[in-house]
Amino acid sequence: MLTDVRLRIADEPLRRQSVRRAQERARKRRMERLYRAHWSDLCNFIRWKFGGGPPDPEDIAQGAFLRLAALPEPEAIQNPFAFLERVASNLVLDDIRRSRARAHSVQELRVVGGGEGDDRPGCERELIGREEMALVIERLKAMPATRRRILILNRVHGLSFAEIGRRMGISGPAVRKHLVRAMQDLQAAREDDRQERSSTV
Amino acid sequence: MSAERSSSGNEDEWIRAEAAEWLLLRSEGKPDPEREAAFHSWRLADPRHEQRYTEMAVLWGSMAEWEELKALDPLQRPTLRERWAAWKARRAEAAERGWSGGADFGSLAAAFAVVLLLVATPFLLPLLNSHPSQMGRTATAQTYETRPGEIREIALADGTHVTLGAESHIRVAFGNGRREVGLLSGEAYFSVAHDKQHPFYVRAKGANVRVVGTEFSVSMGETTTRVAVQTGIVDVSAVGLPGDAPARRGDVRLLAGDGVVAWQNDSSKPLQTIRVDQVAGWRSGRMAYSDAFLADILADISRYVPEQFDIASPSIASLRVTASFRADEAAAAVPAILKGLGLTASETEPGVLRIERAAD
Repeated sequence: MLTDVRLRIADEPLRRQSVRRAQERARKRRMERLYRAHWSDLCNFIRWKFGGGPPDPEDIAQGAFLRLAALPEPEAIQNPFAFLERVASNLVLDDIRRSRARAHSVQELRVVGGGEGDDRPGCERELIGREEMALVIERLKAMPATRRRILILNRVHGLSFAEIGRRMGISGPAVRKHLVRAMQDLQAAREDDRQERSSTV
Repeated sequence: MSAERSSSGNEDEWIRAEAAEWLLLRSEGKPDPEREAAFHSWRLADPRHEQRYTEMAVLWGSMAEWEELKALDPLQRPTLRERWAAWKARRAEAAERGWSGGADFGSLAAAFAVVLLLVATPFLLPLLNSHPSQMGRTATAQTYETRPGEIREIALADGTHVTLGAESHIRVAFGNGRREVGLLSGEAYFSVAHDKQHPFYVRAKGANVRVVGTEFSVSMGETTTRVAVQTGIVDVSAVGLPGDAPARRGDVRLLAGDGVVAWQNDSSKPLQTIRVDQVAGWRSGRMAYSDAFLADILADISRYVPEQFDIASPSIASLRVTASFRADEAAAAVPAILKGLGLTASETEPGVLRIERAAD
């Protein structure tokens, strides 16, 4: 890589060469600084938001940094961490969408009995639809208030289990238990709904 | 609820409970290598596990972006004072580590950018309903096991070729666009069919291996997992270790002839790169080690001989050994190795050899 760069600029005037090299160096230093500053926060963010994967949070974080570095002017990003968060979220969803699209297309092939390859754009589907969201919200309203509050504190306000525990006067593990029960319940609601719809249609 | 409907309903309920438990266990704090290995073998065991887990993870992640969720519990909305405090803290943090030192203005603009992103979210993610019957049942997990002393050749669906060492156990899970193999015990040599679109993952205790198309081996010893590369490029990361930058975290890129030693239960130790003279020599009946732990060598040998080894102390287990011998002569190699280290073996109970320091 390095030799490549040098070869390319060998015939430029010496001054421009050194300016360009200094710019490259500065850019590299900036990326390194960003990496050091945000790597662990970004991994923790991905883990907080989507759990431990797959896709592996570290793979995703790596991908997000690569996107940032590939921008023509990374310096123009005012809040690099917000950018990384957004890119990382999209990368996670893309990964899941991709693997799901493959699974679907195979299934569709079976139903229709013909069709083309795997990654057709038509296979992309939203991961949580409007109706499903409404269903989940309804279920949340019916949930015990404590459990609902814990979920909101974690999902909306980003408080850790321990922080929520302190606020509500219960232990961290008890907070986690509540969240496990909540997710179980919400998932059950989604599955029941799907089953009902497929049986009535 | 639905669970009481039928026995399959109960099973669904059970899988949901497990999936939720894993999701929440793995969404905070440092990942623990042992737990990660347990999770992956659970996930790969049944396509329904993977599917439920992923669905829940998506819901979990999406909820972090739902404005509707905030409205559900107005009491929990942070007060103006709280938001001001949070904003100040964030600004101080950003100034400390951001692009440039004096980014006051920047963080103000950033605050706007965040708001814009939040508003734009519903549009960024195309909204469609997911289909009721699409359960992605195409993923199947298959397990392969070998007896002590047995070496087995396995051809996988994607054209990848696996040589499974003695007393080893793998679980192969293809589908949903992923190629994954869990090495549950023992060792295996992989000749991976090239497919750039679908990286091939090997999940072993303590180490994650990611490749596109290459030949390499993975062996699990007592305390470490070793990866050695025959051809191509292999990326290895210690399992877990959320916090650290890849360099510190020990992400390692291996080329042909490189090897790496990962600790199974201590992800804080860096991955240690080694040179490998012979990759998976056991395939041709040869076992070669350079500067390896005695415990790992004995663990390998015990898969080829009837005896088990009982190592008296950790200090003996971590002795380093360089040795090369034929697998069918492993039994004869043991006394030679032990002698060189000043150790003795005695049969404490039938079939168990206790390894101790020789009394002078």
